Amino acid sequence: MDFAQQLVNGVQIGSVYALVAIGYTMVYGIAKMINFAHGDIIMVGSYVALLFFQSSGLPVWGVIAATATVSAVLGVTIERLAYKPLRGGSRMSALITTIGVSLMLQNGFLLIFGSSPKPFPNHFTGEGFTLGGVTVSRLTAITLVVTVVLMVLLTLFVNRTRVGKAMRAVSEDQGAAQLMGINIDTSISITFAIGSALAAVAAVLYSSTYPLINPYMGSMLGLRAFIAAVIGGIGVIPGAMIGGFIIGIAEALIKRYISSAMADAIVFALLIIVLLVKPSGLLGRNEREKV
Amino acid sequence: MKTKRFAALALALTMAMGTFTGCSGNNSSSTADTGDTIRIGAIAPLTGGASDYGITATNGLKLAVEEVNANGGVLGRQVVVDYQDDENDTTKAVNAYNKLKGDGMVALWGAVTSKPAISVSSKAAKDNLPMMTPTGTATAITEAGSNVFRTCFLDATQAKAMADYAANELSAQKVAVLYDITDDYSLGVAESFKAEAEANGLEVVAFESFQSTDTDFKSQLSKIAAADPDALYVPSYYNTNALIAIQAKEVGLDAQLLGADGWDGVLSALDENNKSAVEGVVFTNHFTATDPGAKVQDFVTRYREAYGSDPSSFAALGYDAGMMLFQAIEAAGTTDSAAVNEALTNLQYEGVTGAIHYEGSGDPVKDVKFVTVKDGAYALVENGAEEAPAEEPASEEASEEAAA
Repeated sequence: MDFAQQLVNGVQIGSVYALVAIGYTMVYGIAKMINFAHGDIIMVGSYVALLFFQSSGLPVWGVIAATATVSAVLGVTIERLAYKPLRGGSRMSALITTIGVSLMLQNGFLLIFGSSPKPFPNHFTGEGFTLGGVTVSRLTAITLVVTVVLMVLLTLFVNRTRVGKAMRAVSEDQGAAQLMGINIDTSISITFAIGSALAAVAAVLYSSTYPLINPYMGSMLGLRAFIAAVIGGIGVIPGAMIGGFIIGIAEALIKRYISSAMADAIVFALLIIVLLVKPSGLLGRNEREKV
Repeated sequence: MKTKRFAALALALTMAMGTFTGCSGNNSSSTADTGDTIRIGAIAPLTGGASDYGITATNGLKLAVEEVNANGGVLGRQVVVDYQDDENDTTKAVNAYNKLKGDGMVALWGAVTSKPAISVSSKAAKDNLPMMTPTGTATAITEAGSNVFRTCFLDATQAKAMADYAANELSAQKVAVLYDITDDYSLGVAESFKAEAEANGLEVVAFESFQSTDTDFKSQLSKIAAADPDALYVPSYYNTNALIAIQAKEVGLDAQLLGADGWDGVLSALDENNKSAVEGVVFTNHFTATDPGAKVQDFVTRYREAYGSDPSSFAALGYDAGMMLFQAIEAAGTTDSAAVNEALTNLQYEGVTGAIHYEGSGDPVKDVKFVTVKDGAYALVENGAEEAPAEEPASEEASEEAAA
């Protein structure tokens, strides 16, 4: 019973990691860059959602939709202004630019909102349910359902639509895709928009569960989601989903059965082990070095 | 080049020596103290990360100074306070002390935070200067010398009070503790509580930890829920406490939440629709603005008028610390350090944080207040407040017997 409860706890936080990890993995798969500012998009999403909750009077789903839209626009804007000019340059400069954007977002929000945490409302109130002695709160149930629905929609979008097909083509071979008449810039922008919108949904779910938000909240959350993406196989969307749940459940079980102080250390060790045994991640394909 | 540098060093040293001699010269003049004012030194973090504490505590002191000066001052002289900023830094605190001492302070109010208070207390002990820290909880502060006093109770005192409350008022049998292993305050209170709870015959069914940076406590809380305790003691700071209270509900933990003074402010960390999570929590505190006592309400009204907000525990302790120094100087009839120290030792003070006196050490004997959250607001727990004084006279008698 206790074990099952820990699984539920792990699945809830794992859902959030999975949603965030998708952003990392899609951007890596298509633009071949690691976007370290992605974690801070969650932070921005949380503050934006808080402002909508306080001032708009929209119902909770309206707030989520509005926040996702704002985040998507922000993600595309950042991509256009900061990353696009560096495309074709060295990967290192792109990577460092993402760190720069991350610091800019953190410190910008620190200036605007101050460093003290702000309370976040929970609009998913109401009774949860108990199943064989395991308590599942309403928030947990909604988090899981929303995550699964979004994942199914994303998978359908990537596999069944023309835009999704174009994105996959860009991820396979940018040059060839361009020769086939695919607009690479548009594909990359759509990727950033989707990743940022998912991060915004994750932000509302995460901040409702842990209702204190601060300008630095994105860095640790982003780092864990990044590990989830790498463990699952970076660049592979189902890998990010699986990786997110693995990290979430592992954390819950380690905290329960080993030690709360060791949780981060063991999760990071897990990453090292996966990289040693299967460097491309659990679902990653081995790419042969072209000579 | 080398000789030049040596010359510069020598020059710097001579200048430094000059400053030191200057200082000691001032010192001797200060012991004479023939001014028409009473000079009190105050050291607090007025800027930086701990500035919230420093500013509210000195706000309390300012009210005390206003009050005493309006009533004719101390020994017929007006009280003047020199406020120095230590930025919660030990070196700056010592510098501030040296400056204040040089300017002829007769007593020190401060420091507010523990580490600067420790470093200043050893300086004050050398000078035998009366020192009163309003809020420094580290035990080392008052161990520096018999001239160092504190206004707040010790962490161990509130842990014991809560363990007694759990055993006697709640009739709890099984208790659990969830604490921050990376924080000295949380760890210290948790361990004291565990020891006292066991001494009271309570069974500690879970003793779980987390880290300051954590936001997810569900693993620990689920484990605690499985042990089915009657009460859960969480000695941490209000932001963390708010998250823990919410998640405790989520995992279906059905235990009375108990806490220490770090819970003060928890309502400010919760959105309106999450406030129900902390409803009914009981925590120990120095002071609460909702205390119906006339003295407290008068203080709260004046504080609101002056600063536009409710006084915190820091403000109340800052006020009491100031009033105790004034009362002791008045009782001593002089600003002579030894006489004031003696007067502090024998002081019987009735303040906004309760009745305070000292028994053989610089740590006060005083009541612990029990505060609860009722209908989304802090409220004083009546039976807890009644119970504590009933215990205190007993311990007084015991120590008097021991002295006899």
